[in-house]
Amino acid sequence: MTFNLYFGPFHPALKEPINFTFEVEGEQIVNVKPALGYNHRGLEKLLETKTWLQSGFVAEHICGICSGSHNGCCYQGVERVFGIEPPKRGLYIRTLVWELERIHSHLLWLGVMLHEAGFDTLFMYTWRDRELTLDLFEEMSGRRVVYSMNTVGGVRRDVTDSFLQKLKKYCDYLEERTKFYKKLVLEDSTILARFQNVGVLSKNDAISLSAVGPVARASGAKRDVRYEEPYAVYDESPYQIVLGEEGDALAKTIVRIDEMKVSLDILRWIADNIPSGDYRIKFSPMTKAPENEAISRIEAPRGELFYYFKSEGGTTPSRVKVRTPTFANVLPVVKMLEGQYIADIPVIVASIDPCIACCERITIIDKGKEGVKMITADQLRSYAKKWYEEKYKVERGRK
Amino acid sequence: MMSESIKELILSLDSNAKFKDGKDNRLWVAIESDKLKIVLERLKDKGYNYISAISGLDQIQNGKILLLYHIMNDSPREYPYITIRIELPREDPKVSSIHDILPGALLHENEVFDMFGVNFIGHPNLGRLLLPENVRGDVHPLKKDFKDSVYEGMKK
Amino acid sequence: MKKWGYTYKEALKRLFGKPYTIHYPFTDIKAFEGYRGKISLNVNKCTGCSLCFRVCPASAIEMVPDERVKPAKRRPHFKLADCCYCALCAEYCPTGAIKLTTDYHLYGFDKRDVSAEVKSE
Ligand code: SF4
Ligand code: SF4
Repeated sequence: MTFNLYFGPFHPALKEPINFTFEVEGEQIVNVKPALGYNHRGLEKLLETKTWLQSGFVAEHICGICSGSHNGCCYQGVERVFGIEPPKRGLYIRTLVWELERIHSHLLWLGVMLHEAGFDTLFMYTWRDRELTLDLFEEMSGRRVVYSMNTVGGVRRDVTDSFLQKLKKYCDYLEERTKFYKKLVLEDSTILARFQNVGVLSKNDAISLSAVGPVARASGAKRDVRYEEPYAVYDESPYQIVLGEEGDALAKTIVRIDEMKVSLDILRWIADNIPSGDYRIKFSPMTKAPENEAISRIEAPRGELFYYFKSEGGTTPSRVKVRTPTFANVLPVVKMLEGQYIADIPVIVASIDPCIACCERITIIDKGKEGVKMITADQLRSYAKKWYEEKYKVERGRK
Repeated sequence: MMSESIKELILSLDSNAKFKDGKDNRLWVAIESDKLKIVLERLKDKGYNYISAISGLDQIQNGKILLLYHIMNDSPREYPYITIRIELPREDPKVSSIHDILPGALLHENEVFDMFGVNFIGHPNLGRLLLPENVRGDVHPLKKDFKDSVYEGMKK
Repeated sequence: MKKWGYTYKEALKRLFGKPYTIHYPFTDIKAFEGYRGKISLNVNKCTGCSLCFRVCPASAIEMVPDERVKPAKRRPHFKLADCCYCALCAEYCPTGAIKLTTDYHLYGFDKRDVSAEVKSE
């Protein structure tokens, strides 16, 4: 007998509006039905009414955590539509924003992940460190969360030398902290017990289900836009791809902590090597675009962010398509949840770093009725069958 | 070398295919909608096993709906990225689902159905994804002739 | 044993140290220079060209006739509740009449507090 367990949309273990229906057999999950759609705002349609200059400011409100990525990716696409190349210094500052944002997002995620595992002290620690990142953002861009740093053809504010000195000091401090976090995660028996072999995603599944970002990299799949298609100044920077092996929650944690270290290296390199000169080019707000289409992809903290622009020669785009990382990671998380225990649900769902607000501009809603099968129903059912067979085999063996 | 072979491969499957070399090593291909599945299958054998997105495009002026499949290759090649473009009629658009070739495409197909009303034949659960399930009938917001009072008010 | 020593050391340090949080309404954090907070409009500088109205991505600006000057000019009226504080209006204003102050206390007990016309400097 299976039993339906409803989880969300507003559940204390999950701070984002997503609903899962778990079919459980005892403690084990045999079937998962995700139901999204509690946060849909129709931003793609809205973007069709905004001018090229305005589009990035709407795009950065898609997500509160990776606002810099959305903003930058959007303008990178707009620049490709217009055929503009921003000045070098602008690109360096853009990269600085992206990497600083990755650190802030990963620290936030680390806190949430440990909080889901019941380790609240470390949650406080990581969020305190994240506060320093937000202070840097406030000093640089004028706001803590929605930075609005990018614009068509560069960035909107320059960085001062004193800021770069501050940034270096911050990097040194955070380097120590990341070492501390890594040591803690690898040594603490509570964390190991909760994270090891939980929510495993195999490399084959990661590739076939098109997982992105740290989720794919923790399984050993080389999915990183910075690695595949070095945009902005990544081809010159000391960037290195970070790969995991096991694909469980622990590997995802370690990959993200190591990625923070790589980001810190890139930040130091930017602080030392940033060229002087212009940081933006003039762009009039009512410029008409040529008839063109362009694709812009960047590596947001959660994975590949994808923008497609279609211009029909007006002051507004005729179509903007946004594919956010969490949307691509919904199928992998369904896969990860199969066969796991109820107690591990929060950790597994948190391990993909879900950003539902991001994802839900495009969404899934389950009909939730009997007979209407959700997306991977077939795979799930065959999986469940296998699980039963194995279970009975084991039991028979015992007898 | 490699690029020729990929272009040749597509040409051998669909002799009317049109190519455009984009920036950033991206190849834009326009093919017939009934050749989509075989082309994707062959490309998957070549290593194109990752789907970034499917984006729909409503061209109301010539009565077409375009679907763009953005696929990607694992190992670096001449063309790591390919965008395959197919044209469907605006009235009753139909195309076969590719979820058996690229399982990651499931949700993207659901989304395109929701937004453009494209029917994916063979999709296991083609239903409303983005909009609430009580939205019935031919309501597809990203079509250009979609009317909504709030949205109309926003246009300047 | 080593772990316990660490725990006690941390606990003692935190017991006598200053708290990391602040008592918000009583003590206040000063925002950094260049913070994008509440909008202020210098009415004397504004020429009424309505460029700010056209660039605003959030449609937070309305052009309303200003009766205080003769002949009446059209002036921007900022609906602060709609504003996303992107500072595009300040960036594109040709005369520099719009400034974003460092005031981040954007609360009020009345809806009109955050949607009223911005007073002149
Ligand atoms: S852009 Fe500046 S000068 Fe023009 S109407 Fe707005 S505030 Fe006045
Ligand atoms: S700050 Fe931005 S949203 Fe606010 S009024 Fe100015 S342009 Fe509009």
